[in-house]
Amino acid sequence: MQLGYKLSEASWDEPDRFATATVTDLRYRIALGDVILKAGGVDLSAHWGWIPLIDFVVGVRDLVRSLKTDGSEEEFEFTESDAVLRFRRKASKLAISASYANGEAVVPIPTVIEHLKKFEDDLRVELLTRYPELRRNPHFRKLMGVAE
Amino acid sequence: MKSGLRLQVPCWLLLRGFLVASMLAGVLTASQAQVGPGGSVTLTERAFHHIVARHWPTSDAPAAGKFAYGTTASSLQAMIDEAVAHGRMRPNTHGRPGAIIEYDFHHQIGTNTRGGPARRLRVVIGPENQVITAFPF
Repeated sequence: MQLGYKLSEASWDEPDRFATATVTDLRYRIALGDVILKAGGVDLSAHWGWIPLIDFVVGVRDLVRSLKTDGSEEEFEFTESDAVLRFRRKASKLAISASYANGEAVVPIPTVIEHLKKFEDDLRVELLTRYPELRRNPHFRKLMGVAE
Repeated sequence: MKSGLRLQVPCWLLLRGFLVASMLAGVLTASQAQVGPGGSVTLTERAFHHIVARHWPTSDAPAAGKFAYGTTASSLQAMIDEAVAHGRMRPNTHGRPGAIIEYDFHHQIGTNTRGGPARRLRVVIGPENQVITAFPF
Protein backbone atom coordinates (compact mmCIF):
# COMPACT_ATOMS: atom_id res chain seq x y z
CA MET A 1 0.00 0.00 0.00
CA GLN A 2 1.10 3.55 -0.72
CA LEU A 3 -0.53 6.34 1.29
CA GLY A 4 1.05 9.74 1.25
CA TYR A 5 0.71 13.37 0.34
CA LYS A 6 2.31 16.20 -1.54
CA LEU A 7 2.05 19.59 0.09
CA SER A 8 1.30 22.44 -2.29
CA GLU A 9 3.71 25.34 -2.26
CA ALA A 10 1.04 27.96 -1.77
CA SER A 11 -0.03 26.86 1.66
CA TRP A 12 -1.89 29.78 3.17
CA ASP A 13 -2.29 33.45 2.46
CA GLU A 14 -2.01 34.55 6.10
CA PRO A 15 1.39 33.29 7.27
CA ASP A 16 1.32 35.46 10.38
CA ARG A 17 -1.73 33.62 11.72
CA PHE A 18 -0.51 30.04 12.09
CA ALA A 19 -0.47 30.30 15.87
CA THR A 20 -4.02 31.60 16.03
CA ALA A 21 -5.60 29.68 13.16
CA THR A 22 -9.01 28.24 14.00
CA VAL A 23 -10.16 24.65 13.55
CA THR A 24 -11.94 25.79 10.40
CA ASP A 25 -8.71 27.31 9.08
CA LEU A 26 -6.83 24.10 9.81
CA ARG A 27 -9.46 21.89 8.23
CA TYR A 28 -10.18 24.00 5.14
CA ARG A 29 -7.45 26.51 4.40
CA ILE A 30 -4.06 25.36 5.66
CA ALA A 31 -1.71 22.67 4.35
CA LEU A 32 -3.38 21.99 1.03
CA GLY A 33 -2.10 19.41 -1.40
CA ASP A 34 -2.48 16.05 -3.12
CA VAL A 35 -3.25 12.66 -1.64
CA ILE A 36 -1.50 9.57 -2.98
CA LEU A 37 -3.40 6.36 -2.35
CA LYS A 38 -2.48 3.17 -4.17
CA ALA A 39 -2.94 -0.47 -3.26
CA GLY A 40 -3.05 -3.76 -5.11
CA GLY A 41 -2.77 -2.13 -8.52
CA VAL A 42 -5.60 0.29 -7.82
CA ASP A 43 -4.85 4.01 -7.87
CA LEU A 44 -7.25 6.19 -5.86
CA SER A 45 -4.91 9.16 -5.67
CA ALA A 46 -6.32 12.67 -5.80
CA HIS A 47 -3.86 15.06 -7.45
CA TRP A 48 -6.01 18.12 -6.97
CA GLY A 49 -3.69 20.42 -5.10
CA TRP A 50 -6.42 21.78 -2.83
CA ILE A 51 -7.12 18.90 -0.45
CA PRO A 52 -6.69 20.09 3.16
CA LEU A 53 -4.23 17.46 4.35
CA ILE A 54 -4.77 17.90 8.09
CA ASP A 55 -8.48 17.44 7.54
CA PHE A 56 -7.87 14.41 5.34
CA VAL A 57 -5.72 12.48 7.76
CA VAL A 58 -7.78 13.37 10.82
CA GLY A 59 -11.04 12.54 9.05
CA VAL A 60 -9.89 9.24 7.57
CA ARG A 61 -8.14 8.22 10.80
CA ASP A 62 -11.33 8.71 12.82
CA LEU A 63 -13.45 7.12 10.11
CA VAL A 64 -11.33 3.95 10.02
CA ARG A 65 -11.45 3.70 13.82
CA SER A 66 -15.25 3.85 13.68
CA LEU A 67 -15.56 0.78 11.43
CA LYS A 68 -15.78 -1.77 14.20
CA THR A 69 -18.02 -4.47 12.75
CA ASP A 70 -17.85 -6.56 9.62
CA GLY A 71 -19.81 -4.92 6.81
CA SER A 72 -19.83 -1.46 8.33
CA GLU A 73 -19.06 1.33 5.90
CA GLU A 74 -18.41 5.05 5.82
CA GLU A 75 -17.67 7.69 3.20
CA PHE A 76 -15.06 10.41 3.42
CA GLU A 77 -16.40 13.58 1.82
CA PHE A 78 -13.83 15.91 0.32
CA THR A 79 -14.19 19.52 1.38
CA GLU A 80 -14.56 21.20 -2.02
CA SER A 81 -16.34 18.61 -4.12
CA ASP A 82 -18.91 15.88 -4.05
CA ALA A 83 -16.16 13.31 -4.51
CA VAL A 84 -15.97 10.65 -1.83
CA LEU A 85 -13.71 7.86 -0.67
CA ARG A 86 -15.67 4.81 0.50
CA PHE A 87 -14.44 2.49 3.23
CA ARG A 88 -16.11 -0.85 3.93
CA ARG A 89 -14.94 -3.33 6.52
CA LYS A 90 -14.58 -6.91 5.32
CA ALA A 91 -13.55 -8.96 8.34
CA SER A 92 -9.99 -7.85 9.12
CA LYS A 93 -9.59 -5.88 5.88
CA LEU A 94 -10.84 -2.60 4.45
CA ALA A 95 -12.23 -2.28 0.95
CA ILE A 96 -11.50 1.22 -0.32
CA SER A 97 -13.08 2.73 -3.42
CA ALA A 98 -13.65 6.21 -4.77
CA SER A 99 -16.30 8.09 -6.70
CA TYR A 100 -13.63 9.58 -8.97
CA ALA A 101 -11.59 6.49 -9.88
CA ASN A 102 -12.16 2.90 -10.87
CA GLY A 103 -11.33 -0.11 -8.79
CA GLU A 104 -11.40 -1.26 -5.22
CA ALA A 105 -8.36 -1.70 -3.02
CA VAL A 106 -8.57 -4.29 -0.26
CA VAL A 107 -6.03 -3.77 2.48
CA PRO A 108 -5.55 -5.30 5.96
CA ILE A 109 -6.77 -2.85 8.59
CA PRO A 110 -3.48 -2.80 10.52
CA THR A 111 -1.71 -1.82 7.30
CA VAL A 112 -4.13 1.05 6.73
CA ILE A 113 -3.70 2.25 10.32
CA GLU A 114 0.07 2.01 10.06
CA HIS A 115 0.13 4.06 6.85
CA LEU A 116 -2.26 6.65 8.28
CA LYS A 117 0.00 7.05 11.30
CA LYS A 118 3.00 7.58 9.05
CA PHE A 119 1.03 10.09 6.95
CA GLU A 120 0.10 11.97 10.11
CA ASP A 121 3.61 11.82 11.58
CA ASP A 122 5.23 12.98 8.34
CA LEU A 123 2.73 15.80 7.89
CA ARG A 124 3.11 16.96 11.49
CA VAL A 125 6.89 17.10 11.19
CA GLU A 126 6.84 18.82 7.81
CA LEU A 127 4.32 21.44 8.91
CA LEU A 128 6.14 22.17 12.16
CA THR A 129 9.39 22.51 10.24
CA ARG A 130 7.87 24.88 7.70
CA TYR A 131 5.67 26.77 10.14
CA PRO A 132 7.03 26.44 13.68
CA GLU A 133 4.37 28.83 14.97
CA LEU A 134 1.89 26.00 14.57
CA ARG A 135 3.33 24.43 17.72
CA ARG A 136 1.68 27.22 19.68
CA ASN A 137 -1.70 26.54 18.10
CA PRO A 138 -3.87 24.51 20.51
CA HIS A 139 -6.19 23.28 17.75
CA PHE A 140 -3.26 21.99 15.70
CA ARG A 141 -1.79 20.27 18.73
CA LYS A 142 -5.09 18.57 19.49
CA LEU A 143 -5.86 17.53 15.91
CA MET A 144 -2.36 16.29 15.14
CA GLY A 145 -1.40 14.91 18.53
CA VAL A 146 1.47 17.26 19.28
CA ALA A 147 2.91 16.75 22.77
CA GLU A 148 2.84 19.75 25.13
CA MET B 1 -13.43 35.63 -18.83
CA LYS B 2 -16.49 37.79 -18.93
CA SER B 3 -17.65 36.88 -15.42
CA GLY B 4 -14.09 37.13 -14.14
CA LEU B 5 -13.85 40.69 -15.40
CA ARG B 6 -17.19 41.50 -13.91
CA LEU B 7 -15.93 40.46 -10.50
CA GLN B 8 -12.70 42.36 -10.51
CA VAL B 9 -13.40 45.42 -8.42
CA PRO B 10 -16.92 46.33 -7.46
CA CYS B 11 -17.98 42.98 -6.12
CA TRP B 12 -15.41 42.99 -3.35
CA LEU B 13 -16.99 46.13 -2.09
CA LEU B 14 -20.48 44.85 -2.60
CA LEU B 15 -19.76 41.76 -0.60
CA ARG B 16 -18.00 43.37 2.33
CA GLY B 17 -19.98 42.62 5.39
CA PHE B 18 -22.82 41.24 3.31
CA LEU B 19 -25.30 39.18 5.29
CA VAL B 20 -27.46 36.50 3.78
CA ALA B 21 -30.38 37.11 6.12
CA SER B 22 -32.05 33.79 6.36
CA MET B 23 -33.49 32.11 9.36
CA LEU B 24 -32.13 28.67 10.07
CA ALA B 25 -34.57 27.58 12.72
CA GLY B 26 -36.99 25.90 10.37
CA VAL B 27 -34.29 23.90 8.67
CA LEU B 28 -32.39 22.57 11.60
CA THR B 29 -32.84 21.59 15.18
CA ALA B 30 -30.20 22.82 17.57
CA SER B 31 -28.93 19.33 18.18
CA GLN B 32 -28.29 18.58 14.53
CA ALA B 33 -25.52 21.05 14.02
CA GLN B 34 -23.72 23.83 15.73
CA VAL B 35 -25.48 26.52 13.73
CA GLY B 36 -28.00 27.90 16.16
CA PRO B 37 -31.60 28.56 15.31
CA GLY B 38 -32.36 32.10 14.35
CA GLY B 39 -28.85 32.71 13.08
CA SER B 40 -27.91 34.33 9.83
CA VAL B 41 -25.26 33.25 7.38
CA THR B 42 -22.44 35.60 6.53
CA LEU B 43 -20.63 35.58 3.20
CA THR B 44 -17.37 37.38 3.86
CA GLU B 45 -14.99 38.78 1.30
CA ARG B 46 -12.56 36.06 2.31
CA ALA B 47 -15.08 33.31 1.66
CA PHE B 48 -16.00 34.87 -1.65
CA HIS B 49 -12.32 34.95 -2.63
CA HIS B 50 -12.08 31.27 -1.70
CA ILE B 51 -15.13 30.38 -3.81
CA VAL B 52 -13.80 32.30 -6.80
CA ALA B 53 -10.42 30.56 -6.53
CA ARG B 54 -11.92 27.06 -6.43
CA HIS B 55 -15.30 27.19 -8.09
CA TRP B 56 -15.59 30.13 -10.44
CA PRO B 57 -15.87 29.21 -14.13
CA THR B 58 -12.43 30.70 -14.65
CA SER B 59 -10.87 28.57 -11.90
CA ASP B 60 -8.49 25.80 -12.94
CA ALA B 61 -8.84 23.88 -9.65
CA PRO B 62 -9.28 20.23 -10.65
CA ALA B 63 -12.10 17.99 -9.43
CA ALA B 64 -14.11 20.85 -7.98
CA GLY B 65 -17.58 21.87 -9.12
CA LYS B 66 -17.70 25.10 -11.12
CA PHE B 67 -20.36 27.75 -11.34
CA ALA B 68 -21.74 28.50 -14.78
CA TYR B 69 -20.32 31.26 -16.91
CA GLY B 70 -22.31 34.39 -16.24
CA THR B 71 -22.50 33.77 -12.50
CA THR B 72 -21.95 37.03 -10.69
CA ALA B 73 -21.34 37.94 -7.09
CA SER B 74 -24.95 38.94 -6.70
CA SER B 75 -26.31 35.78 -8.31
CA LEU B 76 -24.06 33.70 -6.06
CA GLN B 77 -25.40 35.66 -3.13
CA ALA B 78 -28.96 34.93 -4.25
CA MET B 79 -28.25 31.21 -4.65
CA ILE B 80 -26.76 30.94 -1.18
CA ASP B 81 -29.70 32.87 0.19
CA GLU B 82 -32.16 30.49 -1.46
CA ALA B 83 -30.24 27.39 -0.37
CA VAL B 84 -30.12 28.55 3.24
CA ALA B 85 -33.82 29.36 3.20
CA HIS B 86 -35.06 26.19 1.52
CA GLY B 87 -32.25 23.64 1.51
CA ARG B 88 -31.60 20.53 3.54
CA MET B 89 -29.16 21.01 6.37
CA ARG B 90 -27.01 18.37 8.02
CA PRO B 91 -24.10 18.48 10.41
CA ASN B 92 -20.70 18.61 8.77
CA THR B 93 -18.88 15.29 8.64
CA HIS B 94 -15.70 13.79 10.13
CA GLY B 95 -15.68 16.12 13.11
CA ARG B 96 -15.52 19.24 10.95
CA PRO B 97 -17.18 22.15 12.70
CA GLY B 98 -20.42 23.59 11.38
CA ALA B 99 -23.00 22.34 8.92
CA ILE B 100 -23.69 21.60 5.28
CA ILE B 101 -26.70 22.91 3.38
CA GLU B 102 -27.69 21.38 0.05
CA TYR B 103 -30.34 22.62 -2.33
CA ASP B 104 -31.56 21.50 -5.74
CA PHE B 105 -32.36 24.42 -8.04
CA HIS B 106 -33.89 22.12 -10.67
CA HIS B 107 -31.92 23.92 -13.37
CA GLN B 108 -28.26 23.94 -14.22
CA ILE B 109 -26.15 26.25 -12.07
CA GLY B 110 -22.75 24.95 -13.13
CA THR B 111 -20.79 21.79 -13.73
CA ASN B 112 -19.92 18.94 -11.40
CA THR B 113 -16.53 17.36 -10.81
CA ARG B 114 -16.91 15.24 -13.94
CA GLY B 115 -17.78 18.23 -16.08
CA GLY B 116 -21.45 17.28 -16.33
CA PRO B 117 -24.35 19.60 -15.55
CA ALA B 118 -24.86 20.41 -11.87
CA ARG B 119 -28.20 21.54 -10.47
CA ARG B 120 -27.44 21.41 -6.76
CA LEU B 121 -25.53 23.78 -4.52
CA ARG B 122 -23.62 22.74 -1.41
CA VAL B 123 -22.94 25.48 1.10
CA VAL B 124 -20.56 24.74 3.97
CA ILE B 125 -21.24 26.84 7.04
CA GLY B 126 -18.79 27.36 9.89
CA PRO B 127 -19.57 27.32 13.61
CA GLU B 128 -20.23 31.05 13.64
CA ASN B 129 -22.65 30.85 10.73
CA GLN B 130 -20.10 32.08 8.23
CA VAL B 131 -19.90 30.59 4.74
CA ILE B 132 -16.70 28.58 4.36
CA THR B 133 -17.26 27.45 0.80
CA ALA B 134 -20.04 26.87 -1.72
CA PHE B 135 -20.03 24.90 -4.95
CA PRO B 136 -22.30 23.25 -7.52
CA PHE B 137 -22.51 19.48 -7.68
